[in-house]
Amino acid sequence: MSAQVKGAGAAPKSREICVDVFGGESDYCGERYGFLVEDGNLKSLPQPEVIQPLYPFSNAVNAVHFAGTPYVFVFDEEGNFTVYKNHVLFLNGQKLKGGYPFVFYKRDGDTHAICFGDDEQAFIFRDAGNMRSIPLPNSPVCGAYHCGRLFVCGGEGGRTLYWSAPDISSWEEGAELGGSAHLKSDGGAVKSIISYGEKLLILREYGANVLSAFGNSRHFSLRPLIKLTAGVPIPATVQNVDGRVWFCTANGLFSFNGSFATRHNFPSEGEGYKFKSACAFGAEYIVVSATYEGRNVLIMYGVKGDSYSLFGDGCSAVWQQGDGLFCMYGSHLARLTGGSGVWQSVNCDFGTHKIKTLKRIEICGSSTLNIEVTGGGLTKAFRGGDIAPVNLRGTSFSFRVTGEGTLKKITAICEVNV
Amino acid sequence: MTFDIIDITDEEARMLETIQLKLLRTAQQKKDALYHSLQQELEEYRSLTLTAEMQDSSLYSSYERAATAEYNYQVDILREQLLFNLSIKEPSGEGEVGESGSGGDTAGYVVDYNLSYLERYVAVRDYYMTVEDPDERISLYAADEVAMRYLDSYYTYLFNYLVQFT
Repeated sequence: MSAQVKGAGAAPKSREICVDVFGGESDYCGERYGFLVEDGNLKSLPQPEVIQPLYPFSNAVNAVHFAGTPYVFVFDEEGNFTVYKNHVLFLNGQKLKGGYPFVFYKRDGDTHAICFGDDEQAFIFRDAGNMRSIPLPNSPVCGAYHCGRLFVCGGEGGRTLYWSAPDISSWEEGAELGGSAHLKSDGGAVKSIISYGEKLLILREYGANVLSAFGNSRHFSLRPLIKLTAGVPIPATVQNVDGRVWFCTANGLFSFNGSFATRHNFPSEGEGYKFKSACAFGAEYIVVSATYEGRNVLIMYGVKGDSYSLFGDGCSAVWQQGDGLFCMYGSHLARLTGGSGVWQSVNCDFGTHKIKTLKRIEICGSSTLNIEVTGGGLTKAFRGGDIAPVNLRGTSFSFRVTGEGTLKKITAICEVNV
Repeated sequence: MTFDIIDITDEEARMLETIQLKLLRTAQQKKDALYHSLQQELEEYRSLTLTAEMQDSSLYSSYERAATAEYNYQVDILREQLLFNLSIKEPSGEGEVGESGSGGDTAGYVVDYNLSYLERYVAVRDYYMTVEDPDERISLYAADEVAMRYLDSYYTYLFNYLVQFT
């Protein structure tokens, strides 16, 4: 606070008010896109950069890639899939007959076998592109590879769980072979099954079953239904990340630790979103492919900061490959790289409706960030890392941060007549 | 005792010699014991599937099939062994009480001179039948001086019996 004497006579008294527009206790955020809040900082999120043109269809909803292989399987809503090898088109437009196409993999010596299937058969996909098909029982709705066996759920509501013999092409029932178990109807239809350590997690409409399915099937055991109120899991969003199973429902993003589900800070479909698929990005981020009011968008959720942000406008079917994040961008395969976000504050009047002077701002953040300050009908631009004089007069001011980098704090110092 | 290990009428059973009847009874007892074990094993596994919430699964039926197949296999062996034993001429042993003696510490079977010759015969025969190779079996038996003393005249019977497998 300061009081200055200007010329003769009684000078109006004034005082300085400091406000942390970002990075303080109060939240002045009006709009945020492409910036994730993490450890109290704003971190810009990557944007698509096309690396593979002419994707054969444009409504990709899901993509699956397994670590250690060069292959990515991209699916559309009709069940068509295309295989990319090292980001180059490898196998074009195979049609699956229906249902959610599930994918799993196994290592057979040093041969990678990636399998995916539909209602009647699964395909074992090998390096060099040769495939062989194996039969599936009872029109399965989902499946997983677990402890050397193939598990699928089929029949009415997917409530019959089948497991293959250790030779995954055989479903013959027997003590050392395959088998089946009927799940009680109280959990509703089965939506997804996923390998979860030594257990197999069966996600259902109203809860989850946990099957201990390690070793000889003689010792398989099923835990009674764990009731969940999360909502109906969306199959292609189910991910096993860092010891928890993550999934989206119409109510948002949830994680399940084998005993109970936790809701996270994430939008719901009631806010105009429609969740399609998801992937993990490292152990700290979940990236959800969604539509928002009809257009494709990605949502990055940071586990550490329990925060989310929209980014990647126009992107869908996201996956991690190596250290990178990839997606379909319209009809192109794209790498998500660099960063570009927008953070817009609400109007800040520094606690008074009087005309005031915004003297300066102190910006603690990457120099690649652009900061615009608007007040009194004028806008001035600055770079991150500045302590800059502003000298704008007005009743209120707004702040806009764009570009790539990390923003830690913006402090605005305003002089107000008392 | 009901005999169902082989197809035999009561009248046919009555016609059997004592040793043959003993063989039949022993085999039937073994079969009954196997069946009892099977039932116990299945009941235990049924309880296990209930505890594991897997009662509505294929696990029990698969296990039952496998355990029953193993039981049938064991019974088939017993049956085949019984039919073979019944078909060959072995000593009846009726009224013969074994003579006392000593030694036999080095034998693989129990040497008990309180047993009758027939009981000694059965014990030594069962021991040698555990040797899988028939040639090795007969050569071991031929060198068994304990058995020669222990079985006395029955030694030859057993030799003739064992030599049939070579």
